Amino acid sequence: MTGRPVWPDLRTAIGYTFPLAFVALAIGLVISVPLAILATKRPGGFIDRFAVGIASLGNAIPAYWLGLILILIFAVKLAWLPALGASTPAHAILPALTLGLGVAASLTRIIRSGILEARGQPFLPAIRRRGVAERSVGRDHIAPHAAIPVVTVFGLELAFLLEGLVLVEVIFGRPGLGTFLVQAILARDFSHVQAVVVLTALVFVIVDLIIDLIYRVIDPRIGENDA
Amino acid sequence: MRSVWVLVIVLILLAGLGPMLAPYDPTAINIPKRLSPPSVEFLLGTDALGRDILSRLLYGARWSLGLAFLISVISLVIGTTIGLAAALGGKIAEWVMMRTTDTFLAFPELVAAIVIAGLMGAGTWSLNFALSVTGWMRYARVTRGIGLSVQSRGYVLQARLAGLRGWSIARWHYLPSLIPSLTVVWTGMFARAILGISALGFLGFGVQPPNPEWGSMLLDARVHLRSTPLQMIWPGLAVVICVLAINLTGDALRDALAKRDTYE
Repeated sequence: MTGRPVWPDLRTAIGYTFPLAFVALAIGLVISVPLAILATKRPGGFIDRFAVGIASLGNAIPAYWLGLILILIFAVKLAWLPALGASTPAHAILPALTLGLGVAASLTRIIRSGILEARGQPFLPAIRRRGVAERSVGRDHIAPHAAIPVVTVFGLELAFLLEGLVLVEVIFGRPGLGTFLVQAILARDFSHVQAVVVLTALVFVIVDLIIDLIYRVIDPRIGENDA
Repeated sequence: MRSVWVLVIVLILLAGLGPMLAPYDPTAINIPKRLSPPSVEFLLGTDALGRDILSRLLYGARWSLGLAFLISVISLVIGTTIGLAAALGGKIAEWVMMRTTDTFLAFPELVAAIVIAGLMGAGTWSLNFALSVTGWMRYARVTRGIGLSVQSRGYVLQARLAGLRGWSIARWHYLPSLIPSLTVVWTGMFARAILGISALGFLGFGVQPPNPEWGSMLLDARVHLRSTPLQMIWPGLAVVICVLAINLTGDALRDALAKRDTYE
């Protein structure tokens, strides 16, 4: 045990972890949304099969292995980017990419099947026949429908991200929550471990709550019965 | 899909026959040959202690896949029991069971497993416990959901009127409709268990040396990233291939199930 107060250390760690998580999530969205939309332009076509294949592969690759491979390519072989530590923003690129690619892999599949399912809805031909413009059909009718399963899995996505963060921070030597947790476990610093566990559970529960609230906004049918 | 089945069978055979196929003892230390590159003598090279990597991978399959199988079955049993108890046991039992499930779900699985395994002290037993105790919730939810939908069917009512109760209803009327969905959930959890075992192994909280396990092999290899980068490729590749094969099998099962349901 170190006997140090938890909060100052925890606050520093959060400062490293949360921005990384947001950037990773952003990278995941930037890759997966266009890829899924492109893939569903022609279901079963080349791009679609490519996207599904890459996503399946991405889902099977553990974050720590991907991290090591990125270090090997970009830090050791090409020497473009720094690998260890967190002293400059450039240090965050590889960890963010590692996590972001993982997020992109699982989101692509979900967004893709969300769009495909929304496309099959029987009200779409009716709307089209009434003369609604194709752009509006996509934006106002397909997109909200496709968003429901995406929002549903966002909580799971966050859990996945938190799990990845622990390992990725350890690999890249970033002094964030994951490193903090592993060091606290090794030092048998129970109050520190407890703080991280409670914090992650808190984040998790709050995000789940927000998801439930967003649900009702994008799909007014939810919650009609139990009001 | 046939290629996936072939891949799964090959993997099972490799894991089962691994010790017979492995050219060397996976724990035999051979310092003069340490960190040697792939060669005819050592097909995938050797690690920092001169141990043959191919042999360690083959023996490691027993740890990674065998333990993952065990863990996914233990959590299947826990989860299904809790889910059935919730579906059959009346209002209070249901409330207790499902709130317990929600509480467990509030912690990200792997983070909780790292904490439990880390604090219990590294070892196979705590690894097993940590991943089983954090992996049963999805089974419980699926079981309860299907249980509730089965409950209102005519044949269950008939069985109740005929005097069958509790566990015999569960056995004869719930389990048959549960098995297909639980199998799909199980493939997903099996893959997650492989990832979990190697993640904990990579952090040093999992299977302990000198036992060969893929995650801990990666941990050993990480130090020699600069000198022998190939050493780190193999165990990761083994994890990826296994997880991919299981996930694809799960997808195929789910699709087959969806097809069957639409024809019914």
